[in-house]
Amino acid sequence: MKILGISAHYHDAAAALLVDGLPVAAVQQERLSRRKNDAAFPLEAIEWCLEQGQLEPEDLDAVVFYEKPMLKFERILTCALRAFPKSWRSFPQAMKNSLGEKVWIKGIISSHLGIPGGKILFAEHHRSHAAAAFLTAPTQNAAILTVDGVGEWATLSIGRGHRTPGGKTDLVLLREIRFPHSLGMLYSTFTAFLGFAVNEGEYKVMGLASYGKPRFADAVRKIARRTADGAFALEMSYFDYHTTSKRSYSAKFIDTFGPPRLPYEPLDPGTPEGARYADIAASVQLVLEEILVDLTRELRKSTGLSDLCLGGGVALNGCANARILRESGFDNVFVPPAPGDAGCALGAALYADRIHFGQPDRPFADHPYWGPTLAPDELARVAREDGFAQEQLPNGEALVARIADELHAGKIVGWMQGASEFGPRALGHRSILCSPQGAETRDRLNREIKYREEFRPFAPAVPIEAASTYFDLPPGGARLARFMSGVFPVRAEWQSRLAAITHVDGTARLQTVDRATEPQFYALLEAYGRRSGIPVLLNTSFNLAGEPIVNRAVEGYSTFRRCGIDLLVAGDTLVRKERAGAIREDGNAAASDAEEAAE
Amino acid sequence: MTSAASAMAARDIARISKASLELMACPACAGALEAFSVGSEAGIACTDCAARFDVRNGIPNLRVDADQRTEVVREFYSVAPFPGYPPRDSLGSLRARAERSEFARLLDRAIPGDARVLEVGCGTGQMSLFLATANRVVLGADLTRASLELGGAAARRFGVDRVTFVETDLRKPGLRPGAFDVVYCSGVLHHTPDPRASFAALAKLAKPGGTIVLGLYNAYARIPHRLRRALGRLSGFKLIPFDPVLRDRNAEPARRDAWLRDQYLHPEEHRHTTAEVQHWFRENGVEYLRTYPDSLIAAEPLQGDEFFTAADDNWHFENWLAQIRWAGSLWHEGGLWITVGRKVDSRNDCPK
Repeated sequence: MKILGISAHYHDAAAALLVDGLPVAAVQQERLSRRKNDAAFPLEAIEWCLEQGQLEPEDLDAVVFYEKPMLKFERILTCALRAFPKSWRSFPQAMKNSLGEKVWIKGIISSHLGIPGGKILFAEHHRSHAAAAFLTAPTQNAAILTVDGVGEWATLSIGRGHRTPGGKTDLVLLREIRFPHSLGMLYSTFTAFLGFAVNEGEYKVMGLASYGKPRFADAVRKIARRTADGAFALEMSYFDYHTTSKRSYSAKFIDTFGPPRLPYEPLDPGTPEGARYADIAASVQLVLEEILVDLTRELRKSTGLSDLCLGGGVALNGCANARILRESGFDNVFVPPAPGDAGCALGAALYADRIHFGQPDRPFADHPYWGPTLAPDELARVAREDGFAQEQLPNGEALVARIADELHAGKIVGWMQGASEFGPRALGHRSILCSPQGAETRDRLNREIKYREEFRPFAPAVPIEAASTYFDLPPGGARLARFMSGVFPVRAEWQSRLAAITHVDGTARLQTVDRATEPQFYALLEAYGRRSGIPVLLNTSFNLAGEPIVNRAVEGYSTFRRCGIDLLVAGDTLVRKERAGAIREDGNAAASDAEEAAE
Repeated sequence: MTSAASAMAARDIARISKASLELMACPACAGALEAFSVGSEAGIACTDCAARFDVRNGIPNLRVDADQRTEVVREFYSVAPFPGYPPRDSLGSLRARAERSEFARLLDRAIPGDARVLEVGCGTGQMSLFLATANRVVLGADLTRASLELGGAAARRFGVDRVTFVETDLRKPGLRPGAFDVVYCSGVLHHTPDPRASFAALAKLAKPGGTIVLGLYNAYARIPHRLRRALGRLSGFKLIPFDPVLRDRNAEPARRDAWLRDQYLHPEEHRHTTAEVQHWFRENGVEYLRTYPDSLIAAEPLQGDEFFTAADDNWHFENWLAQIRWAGSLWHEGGLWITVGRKVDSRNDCPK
């Protein structure tokens, strides 16, 4: 069967294609449209997926949308009516937002693809999340927990999955928590309060939390009160997101936590004001972890299963994931590379295939590389047009040795190989790599390329076998870290030698690299390790602030031209630029000229 | 002591890269400049007329005596450098602030990674610092040393070494003619005594084929601001209605004051129209490309590096309508609009 999965219209639109139960292609719309967090109907992504499967739209057996638009509309309408009269101002806007193309998905898909409405299916939002988490994980029997902002009504759901190779798949959701009680919205509200962009700045809250002490934890616990059944309920008088779209926190929230931070104001945890923001971040992070740990502990007890699959946007919170692994009692915690809404495109397609159509279970490769591959020679062509020095290193070993040398010499390398990653993280196919050892390279990376806030850490990549030498991993930690899903302590004896990737609290969000799925990246880490003594590289996404991760070689090249990356590798082509320090050397030359004149 | 002073002077000069020294010129005779150090005296000197210029805190003083009206403007900014840096600023937050503006994003995207960029009237240098990425060489020029010192201090604090700030006057610029790939000048010429002549001076600095980005107060779009100013004047600027920028800055007296002085109390202010700017362009061999905001009706939003490409059309009636529209859309920011032009390559009539 040929099934296309689509997610769109909230954030991170994406498409995924399944042929005979196996993923063929999956890509986020933003990588193709080059608009960060593009939520538009993912026409380019769909076209690319079909092209990849060499299909025409009429060849598809089904198109699955990742949520039920009418149910979602019902939720928006109900909430607006419940909040009346407070909501009268935002009501027209809310209706306009949802009554546009968002409700008429069936018509849109059918008119864009020219296929009959009967072939269009809808999977519930949290079932898509659950399928994306469970059906991509290497487990047959697992408990499932999905947590996000909101889909139709559910904001958190608990279930279990069972599948037999070549046989039937069962996926039951046992329980759900409904809007407006939402851990995702709780975290996002704090994200907005701390002056970061919602759905984008949650990483920053997590990074900032490490600088603070959770002295507001009791206040947050009052907002997210625990219920007798082990779940939670939000105290809605602190929030406004259910009544208006303008602001997510209420006046009472400000009374409790003080004035919100103005976006774009410098944030320095060293100042009293900055410390207050860090303490607030630490508090909400702590309470989130507590709730998730309690829920998963309960889930472990009630199901007796040893594997847990986590899905939904909250599963991007690596600190919480690591605590769940450590404290819930589950032996394995699996988080897919794309747990958020984009991953739902693949989840919805898998759900339709295995559950709706009852197709037999088929195991498939456990990696995120379902995106567009590099066109050979593209980089060589564009670099030649601009007269850049370039080299071809078609022999894999020579390339790896050469790049390891450059990295060891302190160069910052733009590294593009094979198919791009599906999901928000660069996992060694569209990455910027550099030495993790001194803070110096990291500062240069920040000053000339990433321009990140100083309180945000960079992530390391390490061969899976060597991971526990440098990092303090609990059992199952190496697996959780495959897609950078967990934050773990850096061993004390290595912290000073891994300064660039060690966060202020001594942790790192590491990626473990497997030789079987990632031979080249693995070889690079090893080669670098032979030179430096530590097979760890700093790995950050290949993009500039505000832009999506690069996809094609031309985008990598354009980014390379516009920032301080020293060296760009795409496939076996290597392009280099004048060393970033060259200008300063000229400056020294001017100084020596001055000295000569003095003589 | 003299050796300490000369060591300091030598270090000041060392801060100026050779690449940026090549972009400067003698303000008196337009000759090339070179660093010198004789005894306790160090600085830069003209290779042609041997005029000497001092360098303090890495900022060369290439300003020769200005006329009275320019001097008034210089004095005006010396009192309160504009726009200034918030406390605890970092390169990251400066960039984040700049990237809120679509204009800044489009401009940054359109400038090549190895361009030589000049900002004329850089004030405290935020835009220069923002544009100083990749292998660009950026010169920030301004009349007012107090502003430049703030910019230079920020560049050192942020570790940005691709910007050099230069104290100079556009009418007698210490900048090499025909040396810059991009000349950016926004919110400046309308504060000079003779904007048309200032533009002629500016246009000379761009390379053949180089781009000029010019921001000026629009004659139409500034009408609402002038009404607001007239109302404010009645109360001696104690009470100014309808200014969202002032209102936003109520909590920050210094920044509020900076905006108040710049917008309401400026000693020299002119306003211009799209037609006038296009006339200046023609006079100086500059090909018109586009405006920002777009003056076309129902224009597609710009993507990628399209900012330095020619707009689909340039019809004066449409431009005029756009200016009327801007009175509604740009009034709160003071009615500043941007025109982009390309210096015509005289050696090669058909542009590449």
